Amino acid sequence: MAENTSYVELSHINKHFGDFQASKDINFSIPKGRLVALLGPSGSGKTTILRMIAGLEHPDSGEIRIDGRVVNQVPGSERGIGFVFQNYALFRYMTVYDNIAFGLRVKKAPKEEIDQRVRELLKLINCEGLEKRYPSQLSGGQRQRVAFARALAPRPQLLLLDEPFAAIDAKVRLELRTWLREMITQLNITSIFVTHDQDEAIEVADDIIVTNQGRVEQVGTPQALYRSPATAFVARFIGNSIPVKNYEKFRSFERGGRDTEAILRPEFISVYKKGERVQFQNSAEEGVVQDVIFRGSSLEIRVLIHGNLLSAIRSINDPAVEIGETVDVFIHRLFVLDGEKITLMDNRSLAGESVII
Amino acid sequence: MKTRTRNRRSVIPGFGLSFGIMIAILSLIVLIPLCSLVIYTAQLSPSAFWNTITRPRVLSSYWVSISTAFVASLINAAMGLILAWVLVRYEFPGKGFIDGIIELPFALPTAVAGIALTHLTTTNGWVGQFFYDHFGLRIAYTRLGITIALVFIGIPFVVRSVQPVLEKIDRQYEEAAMILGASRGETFRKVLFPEILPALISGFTLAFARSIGEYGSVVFIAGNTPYETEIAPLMIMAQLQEFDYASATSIALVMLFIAFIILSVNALLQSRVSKRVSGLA
Repeated sequence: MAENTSYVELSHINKHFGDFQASKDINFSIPKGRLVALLGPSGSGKTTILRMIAGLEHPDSGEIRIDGRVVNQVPGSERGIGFVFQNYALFRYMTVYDNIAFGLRVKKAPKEEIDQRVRELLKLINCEGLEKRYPSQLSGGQRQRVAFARALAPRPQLLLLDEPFAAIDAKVRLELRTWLREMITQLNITSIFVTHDQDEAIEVADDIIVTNQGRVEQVGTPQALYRSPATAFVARFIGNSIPVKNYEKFRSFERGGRDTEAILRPEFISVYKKGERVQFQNSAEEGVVQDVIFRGSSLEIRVLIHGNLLSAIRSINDPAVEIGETVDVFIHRLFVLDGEKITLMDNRSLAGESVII
Repeated sequence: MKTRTRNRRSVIPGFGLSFGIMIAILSLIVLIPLCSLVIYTAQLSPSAFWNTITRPRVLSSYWVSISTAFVASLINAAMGLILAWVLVRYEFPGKGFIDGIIELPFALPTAVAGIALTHLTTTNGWVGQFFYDHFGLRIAYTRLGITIALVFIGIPFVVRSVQPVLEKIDRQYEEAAMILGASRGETFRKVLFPEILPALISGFTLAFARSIGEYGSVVFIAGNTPYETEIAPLMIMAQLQEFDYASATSIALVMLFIAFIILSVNALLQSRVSKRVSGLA
């Protein structure tokens, strides 16, 4: 990671709220123009990080750099940032126009310039004609876009979004995700957003910073987090992970150490109806279907093997399996956790295959 | 549609019963006494009524009451806002105690407050002496004295109206304004003040309406000089002491009318503001 390309850089950041340590030695850097997600369970310190970058909280120790400049002592208004709040914090007594114009007005920009910028943003967020409305007269999605426009009006170099989709209903949320991603790519503005929803992070972000208990667990692209989790937490947190203790009972797997545990994801598992052709018949397990859940585009099959309830995905087009049915289950691979050490363990028969080839 | 509304049950039952109780209470303690005002007044002919309520001494008493109440309520609005602000935004030792004594003017017999204030502000009193010696200012037995008494009894209205609103204001508004580059003054003026304004107006109106009718705490400090420091409620008392009930109720009716106007203006302002927030504007 070249020093000169990083736009936001946090080094050795610590932050306490009373006895509670919200940030523990946070280090990461974000290159210019990237769209980054801060992902973690609630209470993991992700919002604190965002607020420190915005200057709304101050770290006890460590340095925050934006565009190469240490900004610890710089007020939030002079950091060149835009901030979209979780509940948007639109000013209720101002019209949409006045809300968007606020940042420019307090900077004493000339009237024509303000007007031009506001109209430009109204067009960008597809809210032309709504400028005279009050926030209470807007839909959730419109409010979010107005909040977005208000943050963008003073032309910030860095956009910070705190749980930008949390307050919106599911259907609009999906549209807005795509919209926001396109918008940010189009504007080419470095952006950081906080979320606890991994689907959201994986779908929207270029890079994900996973936080847990005040620490940064891993920084990487969604694919990297998926394929090679760096810590046990990431392995458990990302994907629909199911922990399994007695994984050595699965055929073609062996125990990787005394106090180890395995993590299985639905995409590691294939479920076959009896009589369907299974590629590695000898390595397949017999399991009993406990539940079949319709997921819209696929079916989630819950299957019990050696006392473990595993999840697998099956296509809608495959022959249907029923609850109570005995099926063949092939486990392609699993993550073995040995303390904090993680190894990907392939099914032995797959290894045999590759040797033959 | 009609059957549906009838069938819709509210979670808490007994609308009929509670509505009946509401009307009964309202009638017994508010509407019937107010009607009796009208009935008593009706004993006078219209011209006699007009003469009673436009006697120069009575006219000046309205003016004394309204002007002092208005000034006192303005002072209360400013002071009450600051008090509420401090109580909500800061932590300091004795906060609970101070929060508790805000209501004292409600609890204290107003005559006691009047006597205490008078005692303090006469030219021999602790406070009165200071102002008289240094500024030549008389407080007791002037309109200034009346205003001070009205400030005393009106302050809880403003504090208790504004306080809950201030508590509810999300810090995110301030943070949003700050990041957008607004100074503290601008943040207060443009973002916080509009949020507080409806509560402030209603606190002001309540204090104003109460002050106009205040009698107990004012009569002692006012000195009751005709045309100078006679308040309207005193004129009513004076008529009553002469057993001239019709005149007393005539003046009272005027006071009622004034109170009604003040409260209507408040209601109008409130509905206009709340429409904007609730999205019906």
